[in-house]
Amino acid sequence: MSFLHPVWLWLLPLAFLPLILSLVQRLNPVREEFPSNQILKKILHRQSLIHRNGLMIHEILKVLLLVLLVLAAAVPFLKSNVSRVVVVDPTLSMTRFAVKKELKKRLGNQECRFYLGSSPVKWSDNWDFTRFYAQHFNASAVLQSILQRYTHSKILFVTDGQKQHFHKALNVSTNRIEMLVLTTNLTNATLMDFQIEPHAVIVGESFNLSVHVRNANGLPLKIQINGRPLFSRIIRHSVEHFDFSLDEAGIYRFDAQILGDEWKADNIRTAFAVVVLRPSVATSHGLAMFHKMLESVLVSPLPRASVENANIRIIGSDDAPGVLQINSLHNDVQDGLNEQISLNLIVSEESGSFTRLMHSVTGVFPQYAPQVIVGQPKSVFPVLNHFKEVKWSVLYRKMPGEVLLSIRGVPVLTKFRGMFWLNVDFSRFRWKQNVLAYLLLHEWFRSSVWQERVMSENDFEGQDFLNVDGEMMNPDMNVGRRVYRESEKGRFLVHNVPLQESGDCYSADWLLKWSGGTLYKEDGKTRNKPYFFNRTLIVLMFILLLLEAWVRKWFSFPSHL
Amino acid sequence: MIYLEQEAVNAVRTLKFPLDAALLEGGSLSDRVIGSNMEFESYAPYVPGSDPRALDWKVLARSGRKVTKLYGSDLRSSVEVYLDTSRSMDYKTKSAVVRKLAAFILYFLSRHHRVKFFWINESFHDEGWVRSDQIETLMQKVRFGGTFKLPVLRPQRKTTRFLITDFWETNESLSLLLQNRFRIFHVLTPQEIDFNLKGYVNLIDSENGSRIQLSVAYYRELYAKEFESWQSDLQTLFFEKGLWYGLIRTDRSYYTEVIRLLKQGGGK
Repeated sequence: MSFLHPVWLWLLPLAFLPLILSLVQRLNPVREEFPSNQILKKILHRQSLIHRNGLMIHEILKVLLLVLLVLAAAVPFLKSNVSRVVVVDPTLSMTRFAVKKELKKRLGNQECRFYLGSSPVKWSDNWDFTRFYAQHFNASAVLQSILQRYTHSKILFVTDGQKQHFHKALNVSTNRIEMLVLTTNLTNATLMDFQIEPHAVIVGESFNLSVHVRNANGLPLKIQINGRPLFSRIIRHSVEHFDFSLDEAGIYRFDAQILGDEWKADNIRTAFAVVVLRPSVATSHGLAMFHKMLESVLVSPLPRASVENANIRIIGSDDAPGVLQINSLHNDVQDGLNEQISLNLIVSEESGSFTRLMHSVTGVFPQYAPQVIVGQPKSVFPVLNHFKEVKWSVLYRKMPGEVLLSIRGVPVLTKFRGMFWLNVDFSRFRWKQNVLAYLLLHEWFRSSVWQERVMSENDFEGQDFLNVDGEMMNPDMNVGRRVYRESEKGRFLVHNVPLQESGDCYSADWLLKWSGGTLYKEDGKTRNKPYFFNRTLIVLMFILLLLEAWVRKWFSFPSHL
Repeated sequence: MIYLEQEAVNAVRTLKFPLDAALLEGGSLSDRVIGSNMEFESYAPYVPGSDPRALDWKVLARSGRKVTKLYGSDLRSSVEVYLDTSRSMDYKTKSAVVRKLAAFILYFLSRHHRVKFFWINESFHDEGWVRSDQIETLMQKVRFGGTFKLPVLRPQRKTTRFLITDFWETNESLSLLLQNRFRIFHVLTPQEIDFNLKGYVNLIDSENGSRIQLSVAYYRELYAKEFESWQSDLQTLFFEKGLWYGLIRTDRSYYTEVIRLLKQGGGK
């Protein structure tokens, strides 16, 4: 069994503290002379053995409850059994290669699960690529869904890089996806790709390395392979190609460095865009907090880019200008002016216009993982500071709408515009009720009430795609990387995988585990997905709570115990 | 004076009724055997709780003073005050309080009555007739320890008997106490009433040495309930026999408690 947040387990000894203290007290009772034990004897004589040890039973129940709570916070799960998944690019261009031979040579007798595009296939001698090649294949969509399905497996993506599949695959995850590029002479590797992803190559094949630079005035570029200089050249065009070959097979790391003081916003693409909604939030203090926060949690894909390179947009409080500016940002992206937006952080006050704006953003930029934080200006920043320590999370607070569940008069779950909103009010913290409610709702959100599926390009052919507000959305952009959940009233984006990973940023792995639509077995033998125990733990906790209440009543415990 | 406190004496002087008469009267109303001896013997001041039928209306009309007629059966030949000096009575401030209480009662009774004082633990100490100037010396002689053992007493119709006790280990002598028509001052510390100790304790019974380990927090409410029922049973038992019974807490002023109980009708 593994734990998603093992750091919580450090609290386990604390759970035993009340019991240990009670035992220590029992072992070293205070000796005291009392006039008469007559009344106490009478009480004890009437009590059964269980009654006499009621206090200890109660202590044990409390400890069990705390232990379960700590375990639930640590999120225990059983790992998937599949160690490696091989995804083969099924497009027509792949017919040029002896894929099967290549895979056999590289994989040997490893236990693998094979996918030809999005279709699972069995490895057999009859397996013939030429029969299954699909006309359409979106690497991002397929890899996204496979990442979700096999949360602890390495994924080997076999491609020739046509239709920028190489690039798209890299954008899904750079941690668990390994690349086997079967041809290189036609691959358009971008500068960024080479910096980040080492990949396997075939000996003697020539590489065609494309470098994209927006400024064509001439920039000196130095490329290194595994620390050894490859070449250094002045780039005068926006896209230049360099041919070279590698004389041995292996993993290579390409590093590109543009020399001089050219790391300006004019020369490079922005690392990420931050969309700040509502001017009342974007005060000088607010922005300063943002910068500080971004520096600590975000890591740019470009080596020297920092928060100064962030494209921070402040969007008006009114619906219409907000939507217009989001659309303008979208147009920039389409024009290639803002291609590398890796994360949108939306901060807003709660308001009726918020949902509309949020859907505009998620509709227009579904490929970027928007982390949504809603709150009052006064409360949002301390909350952000808190979450900075424990990774980002989605926090909804005090949203209007139909109250579905309230605890002690505080609405916990509301339904608004077809969406469910979880309200966490830290000022009214009642540990037992709130933690349990939070865990329960967290589990509920992950449960099968929401049907999760991966959209592919085909889903949009010949039909308009509408968001929950009935607005038309543009299906052209990289739709495969969107993961949708269906509710009764419509679809909306729930989560996405961020482009880049590092210790400080969400890793795709973490996000998927966190949002994890998991919990099913594909067949009896192999568990493809991890099994989370949280629901079991929560049920146990409720049983224990009931038991504790019953014990309290049965033993007639005084109210302060 | 160490035991007889001036404040206590002053408090009694402000009363509108004589304390000794109230003490004797308080528990004796139902004790009267009607018609046994209706011969007039003397007058006594009228105190609240006295039988209004005994009020001498002629004296009232003549002089405006309220006096009651005392008949043969109302007069006691003597008063006996017994003090339980077992080890349990030496718990915290209890021994100091009971000495003061005994001194207080002896002082007011001995002024108009013949009073004998006894202190009892395992042995029976008869201090004989008490004079008010002897009270301090008597109280200094009293020693606490051992258990309470009430000897067989000769029934004396004309003697009123008081016992100052905490009633622990006295349960066995209960029938004897009732039979000898004892009036009870039940003196207890707050710890004994409310069980307000702390933590996990090993309680050693001060008289028989038996031990009990328990968590006070858990047993406090149970103890309080059990104590209330025990004390209420005792009270009912004495009242049914027409005997005076008063519970006195050591954390309150003993003489105020006695006066309060008398004003309420002799502890009833």
